[in-house]
Amino acid sequence: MSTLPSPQPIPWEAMPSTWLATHLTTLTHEMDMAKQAQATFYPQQVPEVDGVAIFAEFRPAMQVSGDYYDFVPLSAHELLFTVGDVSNKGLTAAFFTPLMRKVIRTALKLGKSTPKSVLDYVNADLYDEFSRAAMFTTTFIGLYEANSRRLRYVNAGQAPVIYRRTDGSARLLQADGPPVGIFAYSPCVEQELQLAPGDLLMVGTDGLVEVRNSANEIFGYERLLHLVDTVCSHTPASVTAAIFYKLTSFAAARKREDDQTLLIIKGV
Amino acid sequence: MNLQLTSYDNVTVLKIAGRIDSHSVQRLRQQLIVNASGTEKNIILDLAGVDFIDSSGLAAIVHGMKQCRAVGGDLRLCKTPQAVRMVLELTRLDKALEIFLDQESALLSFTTTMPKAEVQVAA
Repeated sequence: MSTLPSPQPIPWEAMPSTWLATHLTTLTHEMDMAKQAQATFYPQQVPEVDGVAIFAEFRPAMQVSGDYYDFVPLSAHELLFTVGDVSNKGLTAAFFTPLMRKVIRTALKLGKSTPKSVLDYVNADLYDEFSRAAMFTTTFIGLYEANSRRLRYVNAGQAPVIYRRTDGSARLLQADGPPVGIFAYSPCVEQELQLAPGDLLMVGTDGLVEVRNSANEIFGYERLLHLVDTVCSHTPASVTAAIFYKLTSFAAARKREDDQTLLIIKGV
Repeated sequence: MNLQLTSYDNVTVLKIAGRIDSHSVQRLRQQLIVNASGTEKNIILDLAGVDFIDSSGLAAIVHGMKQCRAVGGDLRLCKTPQAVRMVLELTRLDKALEIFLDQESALLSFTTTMPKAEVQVAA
């Protein structure tokens, strides 16, 4: 039995304009639906935890995003949170964001009680999927304990992460291991810091620092550090608004090129 | 983004210039697939001319590294400009990838770590 030849794709330029219009309408509708579906995976509200004020916001570059963040209150005094950025952007990256959220929550249900053990579980569980897709994800997993005002965290390739003590200046916290999906086992080491009243931690995605202006200059880490120093005395919501305002002003008319996520946790 | 390819004895050097981002990364990805799936399993990326790299560019490099290592080779970087170096350090990808100051050191690293089969060790 002979095999039928595969149909040759017809160049889209040769398609009738009515067909193209219908196709575009369908695609737009599908993307709108995807955007709505993805929105259900993001936190609908910011949790209230003793000793800290929290705020988070994300702005996608396209209809769907490769950035994600999540809050999981473990008790009245303990909050686990995460911020991450799947490599690439748009639809391809968006496939992985609910997966990350779900696997992190599954790890917690299975009794993984530290940021390091959660990260190890996630990395082992998703390594093959990320490898097959030629992708990875940066991720920051933090566990805040109100009684001790201690924040334990692992940082797998996430940047920018900025910490500012109330009496110090803003500084970048370097990741302590590469992103999830690079190695079969994560070499990340757990770190900790204090969140005394006035201390601020900002966890963001690279879309914040990669904003370009009309002269093709990027916003960069130095400007962001300086900005955090300038606005850190305000509430997390106001700090977030100030940062996005500054980024928007810097970019002027230039279209957002990457997803931008910002989570701020501040001791009160 | 410009790609310039030079083949050595057991290593392919890809010299890259310009931005490696979601708009340009496909060319790099395809080139790495061609190289990593061919007889050359060792690749050096010379990044001296790269002025920007985003996560899609990093993902392409990491995937190329995995493909090379899966067949006993490696993908190594050299001449990383300050901006690229900073991204690699902040994401800790500098712990996953071997990075050299110049092309000569990167080439030598392959010669040193993977001697040719016909080289005999004296008894």
